[in-house]
Amino acid sequence: MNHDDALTLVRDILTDHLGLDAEQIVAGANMREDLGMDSLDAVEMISALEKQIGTRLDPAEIEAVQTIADVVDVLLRHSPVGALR
Amino acid sequence: MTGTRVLVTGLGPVTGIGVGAEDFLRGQLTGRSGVRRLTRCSADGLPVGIAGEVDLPEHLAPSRRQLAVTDRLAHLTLAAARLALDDAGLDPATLDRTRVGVVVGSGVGGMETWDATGEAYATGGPGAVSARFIPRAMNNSAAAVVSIEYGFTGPVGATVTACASGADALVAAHQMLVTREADVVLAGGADAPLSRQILAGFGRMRALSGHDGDPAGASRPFSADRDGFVLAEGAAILVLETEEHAAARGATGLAEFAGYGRAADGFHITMPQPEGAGAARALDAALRRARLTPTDVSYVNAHGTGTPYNDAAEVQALRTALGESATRVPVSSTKSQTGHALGAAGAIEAVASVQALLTSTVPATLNLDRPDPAFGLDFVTGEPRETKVTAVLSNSFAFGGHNVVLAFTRA
Repeated sequence: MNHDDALTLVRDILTDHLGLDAEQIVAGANMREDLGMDSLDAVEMISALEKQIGTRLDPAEIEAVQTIADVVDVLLRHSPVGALR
Repeated sequence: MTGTRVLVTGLGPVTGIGVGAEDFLRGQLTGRSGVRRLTRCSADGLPVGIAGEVDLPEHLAPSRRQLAVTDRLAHLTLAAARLALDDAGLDPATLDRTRVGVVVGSGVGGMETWDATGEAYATGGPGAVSARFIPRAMNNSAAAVVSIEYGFTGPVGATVTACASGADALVAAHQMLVTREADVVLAGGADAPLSRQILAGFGRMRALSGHDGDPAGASRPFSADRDGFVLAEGAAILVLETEEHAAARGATGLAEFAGYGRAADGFHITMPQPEGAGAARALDAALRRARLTPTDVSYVNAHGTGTPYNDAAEVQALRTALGESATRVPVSSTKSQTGHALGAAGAIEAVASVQALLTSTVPATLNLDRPDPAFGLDFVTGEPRETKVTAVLSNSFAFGGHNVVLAFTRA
């Protein structure tokens, strides 16, 4: 999975599960301030991500996530090299 | 306590026969039916395949985000609140929003969410349950989303008395206003019960009409061949204001919410007390609180569900409470057109009651070609009836034995 694939995946998760606008979901967007996401949205997003990568995420790792770029990084860290969606 | 007069200053009905005050009035007076083949959920294996359904116009339809995070219960309620505020000519930004309350009754809460969660749990276990499940499903979400949308931070709450929830919400709002807890209250009811579980449940109780012809003919209150109610979704919010608050902004009000009466059956969880004793006491209390006598009543908007038991008990209650006037007062049932929208019904019918005052016209009960010969009341059938309307009683009688009667008079 490369960076673009990961960003597309995050965008799909946030539009499908949270009803957010795709064009707002850019790497630099802050999830709370720019996208208006709350703690319930975060739980839904993390569940969808965990389902995607097939493993539970470390709470400390999730804690640090603030922007879409941070989510993309988490996804890339946990995806096997070369794995496709 | 010397209470202020409580005025109705805005109407926001969201029903299968009309959305918004004007459309809903036209729907009533032209004999529309909101009942059709079920589309909100699959009818496979269910005992009935019809329901009263609402089509929200595009400008009131939920956004993608709202669809993802809230139940249809919230969507119907927000549409009703928007319509009611517009009808009242109220701009939330100009109000002291700490003095604005919200009360929305809902009988069954966010049922679409309950159905979806049940399926997710059955297939995926606890981890498949959405973090939004509880806030989407809880009955008070309807009131909460209105409070959050507009920043109304006076008293905000919900009433849960099944099919009297909407009427009870109006009572709660009345009390908030006369006790000066708020100056303005958005009050009403909402239910989005077109769920497979709810349809199955009412079906198992044999409460639903089994009519299998034209869906528009299925809801038959007071008819000799009535065989149950038709489930519906819907919402209605009314803007209620103290007379002082309305006057200060130059509003005269559409009607006075002159009083209410409540009494319980204390008899059976679903069956009404056959003589309608609790309902009669509620009617009597509403008359007293509104300072009316039976001869003052110009229209009764009946609970009129079309179940054999409800309609019979309601007729008995009207005979007991109104005495000789019972056979003189025009009676009709809005549910003959809308179906039964549970917790929304009392509020939808409050709107119809106010509109009868405004237009001096009593809408007709649909499908009432042959009233039950045992009843003998003055049912308005066929065409709406023009008559002087100065005081209206609106009945809501619920599973659980909750009887609520609202009284409206000219402003």
